[in-house]
Amino acid sequence: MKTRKLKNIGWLALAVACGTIGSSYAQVQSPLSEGTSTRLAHAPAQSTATDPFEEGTETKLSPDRIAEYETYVRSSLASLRDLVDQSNTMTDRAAKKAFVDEIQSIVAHSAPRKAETLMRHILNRALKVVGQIDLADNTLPGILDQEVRVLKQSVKLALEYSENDVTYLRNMHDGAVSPLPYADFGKKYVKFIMQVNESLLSPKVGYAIASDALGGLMVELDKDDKRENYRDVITKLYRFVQEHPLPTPATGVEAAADLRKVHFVYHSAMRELDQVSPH
Amino acid sequence: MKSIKELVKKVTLIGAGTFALMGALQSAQAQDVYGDISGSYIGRSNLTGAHFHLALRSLRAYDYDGGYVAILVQDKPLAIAVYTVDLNDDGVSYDLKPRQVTSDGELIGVENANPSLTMSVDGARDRHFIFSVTKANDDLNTAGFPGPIIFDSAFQSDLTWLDAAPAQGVYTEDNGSRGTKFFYPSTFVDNQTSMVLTAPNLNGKFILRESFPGIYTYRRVSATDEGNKLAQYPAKIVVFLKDPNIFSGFTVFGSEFAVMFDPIELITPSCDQHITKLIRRPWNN
Repeated sequence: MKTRKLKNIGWLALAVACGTIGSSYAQVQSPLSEGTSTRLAHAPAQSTATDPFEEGTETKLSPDRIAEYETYVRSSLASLRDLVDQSNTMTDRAAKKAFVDEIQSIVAHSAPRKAETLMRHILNRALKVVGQIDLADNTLPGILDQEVRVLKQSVKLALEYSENDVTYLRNMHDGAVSPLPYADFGKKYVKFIMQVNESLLSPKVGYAIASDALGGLMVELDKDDKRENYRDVITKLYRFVQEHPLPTPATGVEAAADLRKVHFVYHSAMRELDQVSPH
Repeated sequence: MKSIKELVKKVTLIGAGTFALMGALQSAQAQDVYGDISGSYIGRSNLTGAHFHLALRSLRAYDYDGGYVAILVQDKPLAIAVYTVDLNDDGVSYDLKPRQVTSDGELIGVENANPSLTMSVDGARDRHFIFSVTKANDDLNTAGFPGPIIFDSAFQSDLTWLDAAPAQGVYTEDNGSRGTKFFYPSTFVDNQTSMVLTAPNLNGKFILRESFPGIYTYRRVSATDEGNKLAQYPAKIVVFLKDPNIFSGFTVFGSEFAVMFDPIELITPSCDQHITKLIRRPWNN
């Protein structure tokens, strides 16, 4: 017990040593920016509200809400699957708009439920990555292609992880503990983003997306129930994110050089993670 | 059991190590010694003796002044590969990464992030650069052409890398015995246009898209009862070139031509698969 307490204090000390840990989830204004934070933030403590003064402050979902959300996830999946098929008949610009509209609608409608599902995470992040790619002139060849690729592949990834979400929600409904596979998802997602990143033409945009992806990995590892195993990697990523804030460097050549550093940290982190939990 | 002090110390040590490494990398910040090296160069393979053209396009429009898109074109037999070129930290050498159709079929991208070739600028005479292109590593990426290729000719290549729009018109296959192909690139909207192929073995409607600066893909459009469906994987990659020295078959002196080639990722990590050369005959336009 004492050891556990000390470990928790240790984490707090880590936070203090590294600087301030802002609860960026608490600062989220728009539901569309939720789940896109790449700073360490811990979920609010789960309340077991019995005191009347705590009414309305509960952070657990009621069984009705869970059932409603599960239905919503199922219908969202159906519409996303249709959209992936339909996008093959669209121009890239039309496909981008259709994906963005659908994702925004899903994220906005699921926002009040505050269910931190992986599907919602992936969709939210897709919007953020596309927003970053959009900083380049999207009339240039290759830019729109990249955006549609990110959106389409993100939707496919969201569909892949949706079953985890449904299981998670059902178990939550039954009162069982069934943590989402955050670390596994984090590794897979960062790999996906770094691969997309390899194909980008602007190193400034690439740097912004890649360093954000490292931050995202850090947050996912931190949320995992085995996060103690990933402590060294989390620390390394946290250091890097703290020391390499946006905005990106001034010139393309500098950004390309900095991007190589991100790749170095990424590969180093992945090697360490493979040693901790090899597949 | 670790004390808080030990934990903080460990964190600090890890952080210091990371900073030291970053510092070392930071000190090697890239300086672009030769500036813009865009252009066309002619060279020869020290391995096969084949002649090569290297055409470089700057990525300045993408806010990347040290980056280029490159095509390496082997004269005989005709073969071609597409690369992105990144300036290294030393400021005088570049990494070449082969561009392929990605495994998800969505675009021309990088599947293997390791470079296959390294290009060193050995000198410059009146803005004419001399390059050595050698293999980048032992076997991390072997796609595209093998080195070494030396670009030390006193002459610039006459090969011009075109956009599709100026080459608008009718193209005829370079090999008359296999029938005739035509396509009609017209106005590009959002970097794409539709075209028609009328060769016996390849006919129908296609979408021609500039998926990468100066690099085009074409995909078949299938008319179905659900609407027009675009194929997931491109049928071929296309580049448009002009070489005043080409003189073969129906080719006229100074022809513009298109080279259509299979996406290397889908076939084999090579650069000479199923090349189709199309010549634009001015009197057909």
